[in-house]
Amino acid sequence: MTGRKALGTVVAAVCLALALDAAVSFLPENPYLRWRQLDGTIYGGLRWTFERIHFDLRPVDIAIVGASRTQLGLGAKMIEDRLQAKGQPVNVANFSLEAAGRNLHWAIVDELYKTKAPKIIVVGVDAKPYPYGHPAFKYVASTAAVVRPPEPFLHNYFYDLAYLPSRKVKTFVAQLFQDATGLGRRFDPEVYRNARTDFTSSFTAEGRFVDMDREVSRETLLAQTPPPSKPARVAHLLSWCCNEGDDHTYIREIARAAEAHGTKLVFVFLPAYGDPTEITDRKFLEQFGTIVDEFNLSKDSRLYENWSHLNHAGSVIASARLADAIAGQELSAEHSQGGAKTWPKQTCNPDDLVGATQLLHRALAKTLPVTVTLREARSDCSGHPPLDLTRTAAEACASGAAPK
Amino acid sequence: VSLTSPLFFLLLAPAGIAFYLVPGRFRALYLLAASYLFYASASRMYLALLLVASATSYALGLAIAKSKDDGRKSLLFFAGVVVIVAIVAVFKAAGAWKGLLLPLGISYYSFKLISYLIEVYWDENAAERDPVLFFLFPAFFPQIVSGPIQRGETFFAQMRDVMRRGADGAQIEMGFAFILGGLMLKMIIGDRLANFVDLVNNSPGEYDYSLILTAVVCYILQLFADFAGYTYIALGVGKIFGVEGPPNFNAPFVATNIQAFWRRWHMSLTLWLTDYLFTPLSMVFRNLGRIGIAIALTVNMVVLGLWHGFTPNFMVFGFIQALYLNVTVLALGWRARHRPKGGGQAADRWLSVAGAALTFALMTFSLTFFFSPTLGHALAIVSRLLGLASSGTVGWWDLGPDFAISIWICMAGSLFIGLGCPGMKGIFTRVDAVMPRWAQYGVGLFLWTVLFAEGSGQFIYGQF
Repeated sequence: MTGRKALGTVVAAVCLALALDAAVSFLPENPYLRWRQLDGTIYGGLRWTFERIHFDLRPVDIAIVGASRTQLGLGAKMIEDRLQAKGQPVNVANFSLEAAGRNLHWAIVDELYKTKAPKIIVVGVDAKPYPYGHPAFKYVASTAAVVRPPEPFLHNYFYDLAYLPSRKVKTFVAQLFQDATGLGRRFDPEVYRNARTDFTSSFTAEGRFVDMDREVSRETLLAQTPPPSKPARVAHLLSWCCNEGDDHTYIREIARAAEAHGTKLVFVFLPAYGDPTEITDRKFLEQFGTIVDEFNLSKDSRLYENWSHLNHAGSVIASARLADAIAGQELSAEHSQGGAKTWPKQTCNPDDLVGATQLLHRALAKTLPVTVTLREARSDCSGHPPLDLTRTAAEACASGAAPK
Repeated sequence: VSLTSPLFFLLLAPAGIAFYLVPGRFRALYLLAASYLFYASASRMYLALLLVASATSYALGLAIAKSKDDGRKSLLFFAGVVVIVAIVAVFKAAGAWKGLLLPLGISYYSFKLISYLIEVYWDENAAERDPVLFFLFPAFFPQIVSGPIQRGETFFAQMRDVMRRGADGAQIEMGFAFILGGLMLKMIIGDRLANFVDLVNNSPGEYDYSLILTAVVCYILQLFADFAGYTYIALGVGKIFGVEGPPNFNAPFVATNIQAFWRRWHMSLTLWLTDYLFTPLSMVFRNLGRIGIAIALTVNMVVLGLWHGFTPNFMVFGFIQALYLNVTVLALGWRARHRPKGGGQAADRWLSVAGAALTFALMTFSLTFFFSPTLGHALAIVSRLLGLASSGTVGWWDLGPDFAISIWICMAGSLFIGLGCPGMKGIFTRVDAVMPRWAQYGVGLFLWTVLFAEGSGQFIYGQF
């Protein structure tokens, strides 16, 4: 056999494999399963994110997206209370998640607009933009979002694309054989109710207790601070030749979506300990929204749990200042009349509503400040067949009726 | 650049094509440059160490070959071996006691260089005079991460051959098949088992007896899938460049005793130790009879253990292997003397099955010391296995049925491959008749892309 024939065999094999990969990428996919793939990991909060967006009728007036700094540094409840005290009752949801990567924040915002109409989206930013994608993006992003990103050759593009066939097969099999794959598609109100969504007080993650009330000495914080890292050469090269990096690309996308839905963008900068107080791409961000960065926290070691994250005391200050910065803006004009009215008509899926009403009925009504009543929720779905309340939310999801 | 990373394969394809486009006489130089580039991408700092070790061995090899005086020859030889062993020992000690990361592939290229010096010491004609070819020998990038440990003589001959001829299509296709098989073994089976083993090994106190027992059994299967998978990839990449590396595994789980097991497991290392340590030691102690053999075996296996690292765990692992081997030698001798003449074949077959099961169990037990980070950790696991310490409460049910099923399937897969894939030859022959090779590879590649487990992608033997 000649070398050319061997090369032909290899090329043919690779082409066949790519064709089969492309074919499975067309398999249908239940989005709820996508967002549940990371259950039990540090990104397990994505399941709650989807459920908050799709199965919880309460509106989201202010949505926060960002990495762990905004996850630990901003308390949704604290912001709600502060704004309530100022006469602005709102629902705040903090969707921030461990690790940086702007594409995930865009995916969350994109999902959010399918059922909610937030007035403000708060985006956590760092002193320097992070040029890469988020490791969880490949799990939750739609096929189209993975295959056709807004700009070519983003740093994680091929890694995310390479995972797509595997994900498609996994979620497809999970759809066929419910629970046998460990990827259940039943919505469990108990799990939703018990999900940890506020990380401004002490918690345990990956077996490690994070004491948010502790104060760390200045020396310890300085010792923890890693040396500044340079972006990898490949990312640098790609940013130079083909795109602006994930951060700028997806901030543009978030801004575009926000503009289309009449949402204001607020960029919040929660610095690491000792961070410079200036954001390097201030001008870029100012094109799209307001920057809230005058916290002056980064010199006070008493406000930090570790070099990168605020502790509880720090989060109280940051949450209050953010609330003060956005107070007075039109946040939720119709809030007091019931959140169901902010639920866009096109997503008023009766099956979801069944799930949501069951959820409200069984789990949330007594424990969360729900402002919508079942009657209001039902009335907002007029024109749909009468609701069968014996069906469970799980059935709603299992029927494949989870919002598209 | 890892041997499983997409970037590696993206670069491998043009590198392989360019290799055959380069004029024959420059191919070794091209491969040397590629190998140093590969090494520098992982460990720029230690590239100098590789160069120093290579240059020392090259100079000493030529000096030994030239020397007419036996005393001077021995002096040069011992100086070379001492220098290389000292380099390895210093880094292994620093790794064990100071947590220093070992220079990439030091255990492998140092053994290659030592074997070269020994061969030249024994036969001056084995000396390689072409510096490019010689420097390529320890640095050859498919083998530098985790072997296999090839001998100089075969490597130089194969390189000379590939510098004279064009591309061998059959060899390249076989290389592709090896790479694909290795990727599937490592990333579908090995990494999935690794996730389970790591889970239990990180906090064994939390898990119940059945999970700890399964994790311990799982480790030998994971290690096999991981290391054999790596070896297939390394051999496959080598084939693309016209180099046939030595095999490292030969259906190790069919071994009916420990002696046979070590002839089938990490073969390039055990063969190296047999040739350059055990055999000379046996000669030295030949007057002591069985005791001499026992000493040689013990030293051999303890060195094998310490080759992995200067930690108490690996030493205990080595001593356990020495104990196993010495008992095996005695048992085999006893059996040969007491074996009834004309014994039944059925009895032999059952004995073989029992022997294979016992060998597997013994190796499984000893590997507890291999995969545990400390001796205390290993003893804690052993005490739980023996029922001397209480187990935790987390069981299979808590891990979820899907996790359990995938682990059991992967364990069965690794065991099946470790048994030499019985019956698969016939199936492949039938498939060959109805499906062209490219389609088989395509389907295999597709299966790999959808079934690979998300793991670290690191190779266990990469740390040695």
